[in-house]
Amino acid sequence: MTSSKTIVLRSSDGATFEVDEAVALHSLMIKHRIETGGADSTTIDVPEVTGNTLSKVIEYCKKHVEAPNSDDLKSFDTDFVKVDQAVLCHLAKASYYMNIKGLLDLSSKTIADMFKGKTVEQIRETFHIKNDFTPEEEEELRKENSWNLFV
Amino acid sequence: MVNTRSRSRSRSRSRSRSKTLKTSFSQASIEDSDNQSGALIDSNKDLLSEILVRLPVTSIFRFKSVSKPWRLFLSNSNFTRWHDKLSKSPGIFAGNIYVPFDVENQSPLGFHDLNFYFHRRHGVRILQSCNGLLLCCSNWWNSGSRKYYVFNPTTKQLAIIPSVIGDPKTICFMALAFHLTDCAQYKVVCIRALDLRGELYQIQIYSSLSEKWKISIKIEFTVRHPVSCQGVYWNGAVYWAPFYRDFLYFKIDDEKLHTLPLPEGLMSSHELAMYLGESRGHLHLILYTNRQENSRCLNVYEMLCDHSGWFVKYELQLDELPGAFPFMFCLTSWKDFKVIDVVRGDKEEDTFVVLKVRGNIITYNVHDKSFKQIFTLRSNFSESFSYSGGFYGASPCFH
Repeated sequence: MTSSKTIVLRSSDGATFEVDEAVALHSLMIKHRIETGGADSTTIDVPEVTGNTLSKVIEYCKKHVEAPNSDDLKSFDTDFVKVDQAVLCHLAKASYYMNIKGLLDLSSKTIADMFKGKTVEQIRETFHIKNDFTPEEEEELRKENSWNLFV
Repeated sequence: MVNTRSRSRSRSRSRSRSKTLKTSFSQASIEDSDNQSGALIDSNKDLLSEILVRLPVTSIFRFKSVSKPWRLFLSNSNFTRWHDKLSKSPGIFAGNIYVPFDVENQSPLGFHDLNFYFHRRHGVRILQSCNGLLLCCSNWWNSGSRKYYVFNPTTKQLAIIPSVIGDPKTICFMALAFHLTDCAQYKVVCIRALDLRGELYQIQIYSSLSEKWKISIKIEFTVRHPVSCQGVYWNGAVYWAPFYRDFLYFKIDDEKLHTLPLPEGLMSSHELAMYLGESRGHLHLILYTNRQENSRCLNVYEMLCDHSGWFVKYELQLDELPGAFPFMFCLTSWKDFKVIDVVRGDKEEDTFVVLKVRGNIITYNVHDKSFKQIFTLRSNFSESFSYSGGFYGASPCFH
């Protein structure tokens, strides 16, 4: 069934984007809204996502829906996440809310790769976390972890 | 050493990054405060866990020290099971080359050949794979100068096992005992001959906590045939079968030796080939003779948890093998046929058996009876290769 039906997505800051229905359905959240929304569901609000982020998300969905078997899909994905960290975090959040598994995998993995080399102190700084271990407890933890480093 | 180097490199890089990350996360929380707070915290936590579950094992261990809630969260069994699923890459070692079972997916282990980690050491051989750790030895061909190691392929860390008490040339058998729940240490069990006639043996135990060998003086046993084969660790004990007679197993905690008979109706014979291995907490045994020319029907036995006996878990019908791989079975000969591993799946229908036929490695699903060739060895000299059975990317021990 080839339908040229389009859906309008509206971001939190009022920006609207017209996309093919097939592209919009790549987001399982939107798919659910359309299926349960009734006959007049041509405009869908996405209040959790800003216009800038939504435009990027749509770009991702378009590529993955229109050319899912293309050879350059991998390099598209790699380049797609070569962005500012703020943008990356917004992408991850949007992909979570909009239930787009591929983008969630991609963005989460990229952020995880940025975190993996961090020290404990840096993680605390990033998330404003207070150290609630006593020095004795910290020493105990360190000892527990030493076996797997074969030190 | 590799780990420390990469950590310091990314530390300087990430110092400038952490400020931006801080801003972006606090920005997110400002946006979120417009919505219901309960749902927000939940959704943020979910997103955070989507990120944390994709971290490598070493980072997860390190981040347990961030705070008590983080420690609880990273140790939670749902989280660890999720992480296991994403990060595990089971496979086998053909010689020292790692072959993942799932050939389509890239190995998250990020390494292919073990020899790289044993630079300048010769004749490296894997003796045993045990719950994510490998027991290896170098100078395999020269029993006097063999050195034993425990290697963790996930963290790429190598530990040298110090020399046993006594002449290393008398070592007949070494086995690694390690399980996720007993995660504070691993142990190595050694059996060495006390006399030249090969009738008196002694067992020693090495503990990674004490870093010392200890003679288990209660045991000085005699066996009619020398012990020299690979061991299996299961249910707190190390198993081996000297020349396929009655199994002997050594329970590590109480340091007692026990015998375990073969399944009923099976006679021991020097023609018997055997597979003994552990998978997902089950101990499996397969016995077959190489004389069988025609229908190949193998029973896979599983050991009962109380060690009271074996029961038939699977009946394998391998008659379709020659039809599926005619070039491997010319002359309808079952020569060079060997069972390497029984791999239990996360779901029962994913259970499969790993076979080696004339230098080709084939997986056979026990339930849907499908075959898949996953690897071809460059040479077919079985004595050059040591198959250490299923290897599961080291699952960390979560308290």
